Parts: sequence; structure tokens; C-alpha cells
Amino acid sequence: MILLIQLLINGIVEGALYALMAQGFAIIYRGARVFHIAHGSIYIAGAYSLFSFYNLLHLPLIMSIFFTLLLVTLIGILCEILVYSRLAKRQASGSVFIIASLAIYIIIINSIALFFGNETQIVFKEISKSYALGEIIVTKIQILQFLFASLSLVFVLIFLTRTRFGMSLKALANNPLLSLALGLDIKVLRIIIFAIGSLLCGITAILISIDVGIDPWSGMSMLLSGAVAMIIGGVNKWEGPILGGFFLGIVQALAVWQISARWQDVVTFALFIIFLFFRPQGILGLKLRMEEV
Amino acid sequence: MNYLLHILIMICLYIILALSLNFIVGYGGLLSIAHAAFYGIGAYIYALLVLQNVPWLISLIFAVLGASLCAYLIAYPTLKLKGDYFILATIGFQIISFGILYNLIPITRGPYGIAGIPRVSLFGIQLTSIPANFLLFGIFAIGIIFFSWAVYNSPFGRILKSIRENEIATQAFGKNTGGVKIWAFVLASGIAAIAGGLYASYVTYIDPTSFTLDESIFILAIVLVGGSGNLKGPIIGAIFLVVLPEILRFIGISSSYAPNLRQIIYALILIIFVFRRPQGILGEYKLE
Repeated sequence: MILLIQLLINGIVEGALYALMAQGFAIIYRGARVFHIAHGSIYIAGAYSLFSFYNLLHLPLIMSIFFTLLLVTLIGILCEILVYSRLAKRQASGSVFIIASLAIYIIIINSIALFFGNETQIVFKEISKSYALGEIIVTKIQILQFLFASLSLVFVLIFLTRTRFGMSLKALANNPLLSLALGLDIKVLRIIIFAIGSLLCGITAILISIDVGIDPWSGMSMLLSGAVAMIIGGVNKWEGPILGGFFLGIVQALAVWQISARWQDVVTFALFIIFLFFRPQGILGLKLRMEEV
Repeated sequence: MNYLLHILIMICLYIILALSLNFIVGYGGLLSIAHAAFYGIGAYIYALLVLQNVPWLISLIFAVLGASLCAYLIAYPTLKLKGDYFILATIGFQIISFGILYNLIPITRGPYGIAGIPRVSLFGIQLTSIPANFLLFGIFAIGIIFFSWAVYNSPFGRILKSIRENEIATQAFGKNTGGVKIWAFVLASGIAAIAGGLYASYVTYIDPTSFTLDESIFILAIVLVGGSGNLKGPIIGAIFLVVLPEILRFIGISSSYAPNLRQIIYALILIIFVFRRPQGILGEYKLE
């Protein structure tokens, strides 16, 4: 029983991070209609930029975090300006976006691997403090991760549902042509979408890299977790990716209980395929008619 | 000389892989990023059977059957998906198969890989030299080229082509488009398994890192850059993309940087082609 509660707590913390990744991915996927695989490389760029600012340049932590978030947002915007906006202009299909996105992913990841090598890099080398509640152990970093991830999620959710930007984003997601006719500046809107999505990705990267070491190749696994969390939660509601993230985190934690942690990616995709079979619209999703997709 | 022959062997290998992926991408119009998974499954089945002293040709047949069966089980649910979800599902299968190869240590020996795979022997003579292996790869590559040509010009190939152009219209002609797509997928994966078996016998050592997502993307890049939807495109693509990174060797880039630089070059070429020439060098099918 104690073990189960411990695993659940670990799963919820991990889930909050997945939710953050998924929400960033979902904002881009819904708003700009780009299946942004390069999101995984932006995550790695975030982790490595924290490592370079904090461990290599010895800047204060707050400044390192600030510069990291700035850099990550910038990379996201550059992806849009240099590649996606041009593809969108010629009304390319989803497959073309995915190929372009894969190419960006490969370029960023391999450039990072060229500079920093393929080894795992660790930001904080000391072991973090942990608190014991009876027999359940929670580390200080886990509390920080959960706190900041949830705060960011709440802020973003308020931003998406209560502001004018959120409304225009919804309009763009529903019908790009009509929102153009309504006088929305789609160019600017898309840039903001990529900025916010990448910002969330950067926060996730920072929260994870203060806990565990990062190597360039862990980005794809994180990206897929985010994408799968978005799909199993439901793409067409903003609460979907958050719910999906927590669900995925808890399932993975419980799977670790039964089988080894090395099977994590396999568990993620097994879950994805089960959902595709039985509930392709996700937990919160609405079933769309053919012509609405 | 052996270096040159090695490059030619790699070109033959990637011609086989690219032509098989062409069935799915160029003819079916479906982007699959799981081809290295079937390639790897073929290589592993072949290696494991050959090491049990099963003759190589029978091992190769079992490798093809095994990979085709996996492909059927994957294709059946995923081919119903549309666009992005289908691509994500193929990436998922790629990741799962890598996870299995890497973690199922009792069978696949995980990260340690399988060593000591014997080279192919013909009429009692083992093909140990590189020229002899080149001959073997060449024969298989030419065989696959003829086979692909026959399939492209068969009624099956024509239905596949018409699905790519307009699936609904093909259905209206009373063709079972779902079934045709599944069989194209199975066929492509079976041929990828042949490439896997040949590769295992040639390098005599395999480990999961040869069959990663990067490899899948590389095979897809060959098809897209060369041009999909016909016979010439993937062949030109394989020659172009296998030879190109060898230039790095001649300008004296240290071999520790070479793998990363190679990936970056592939990705840049892919982006340039997506923008400037979406149909590839010689393709007739254009991704839009």
C-alpha cells in the first residue's frame, strides 16, 4: 500500500511535467496546425542552455533560467519564421510539416551533440533534500517541480480561456480562413503561439534538468510522451493535454512497479495504441464529423 | 579498392530499402517512419536463426515471414488512421521495436548486440571477401529492382498508384483500398527484412543502434530526395545520399564529428528539397 502511494506521488509529479510538455505541444498543434516534432529538440536546447549558463558560464541561477527561457522562445519563433510560415503560405499538408519538423529536430539535436558530446550532463551534482511523511519520501525537487509545473499550467489555462488572445487562438484553431476574414493578424498570432509553446517547453526542460542528467537523445522520448499525452487527453479541449499528462505519468509509474523502467517508451506507445483503438478522440475529446477534421 | 566496394555494397543495401519503402511512400502516398524497425526485425531473426545453424536462405525466408507478420499486425490498426496520427503511430512502432531489441536481453542480448554472424555461403564456399559480398548484394539489388518493376506494372501496383492520387475515386471503382494498402505495407516490410538479413551477414555483428529512428528517417530521406513513385528515384537517392557524406572523409573531418555532421547534412538536404523540389530529383509524386 505504501509502495502504491509512493508510486502514485511519483507519477503525479512526473505527470505534471508531461502535462506541461503536452500543453506546449498542443498549443502549437491546435493553433498553428503543425505537428511540431522539433519541440523535442527545443526541450533539449533548453536543458543544455541551462547547463551552459549555470555550470559553464557560472551565472546566477535566476539569470540562467531567464536566459534559457529567452533562448528557447527565440528558437521556437525562428522555427516558425524560417520554416513553418513559408510552408503555411503554400498551404502544405501535414506530412510536409512533419518532414520539415523532423529535419529541424535532427539539425538542432546533432548540433548540440557536436558541441557538448553525447554524454549525460548534470546541472546539480548534489543530492537534493528529501522529506519523509511516515514511510513516504518526497524530495525537495519533486515539490518544486510539481509546484512550478502546476502554476504554469494554471496560468496558461487562464490565459487560454479568459483572454482575448485565447479567444483568437480558438478561432484560428477552428477555422484559419474565417479568422483571417475576421481581421485577425494570423502572422503575429502564429508567432505568439510558437513563443508560448516553446516557453512551456523551456520550463519543462528546466524543471527536469534540475533533477536528472540530460543527454541529447532523450528529447524524442519526451516529445513523444507529450504528443501521446495530448492525444489520450483529447486534442480539442485545453484541459485534455493536462489530464492526459497526469494519466500518462501515473500509468508509467504503475508500470515501473510491475516491469522495469527501461520499458517506459514501450508503455507510452502501448497506451497510445490502446487509445487509438477504443477512444481515438481521447478522454475529453469530442467526436468530430468527417468534414470538421 | 575494398573501400570503394564497401560503398557500393551500402548503395545496394539502401537501394533495396528505398525501393521497398517506395511501395508505401511513393505508391501508397503514406509516410512511414518505421522502416528501420522492419529492417532490424529481419536482421535479428536472420542472425538468431543462422547462429542456430539454420541454412542462410531458410533463415532469410523466416526473417521475411517474421517481418511481414509484424507488418500485418501493425498495418491493420494503423492504416485506418489519417495523416499525422498514422505518422505518429509508425514512429511509435519504431520506438517500441527499438525498445524490445534493446531491453529483451535474454533473446536479443540488448545493447551488447549479436556477434559472430557467419557470412553467406554459396555452394559450400563461404563468401568472406568483400568483392564476393558485393556480388551477392548486387544480385539481390538487381533482383529487387526487377521485382519492384514487376509490381509497379502489375494491376496491384496500378491500384496502389490510383489510391495515392485519389482514394475515394478508387473505392468508387470497387477496389478494396484498405486491403491493398495493408498488402503494400506487408510487401515493403518483407523486402526490408531481406535487406536486414543481408546486412547482418555482411557486417557479422548487429546491435539495436543500427535500427533506430534516425535510420528510418534516413531511408525516408533517400526516397523523398531521390523522388518517390517510380523506379529511378529511390535508386538515384540511395547513390546520392550514401556517397555524399563520404566527402566529409576526404576533407579530413575527424571521425568523432562525422556521424553528427552527416545527420545535419541529411536534414539540411531534406529541408532544401521540401522547399525547392518537393518531388525529389526524379520523382513523379509530389508531397504537397
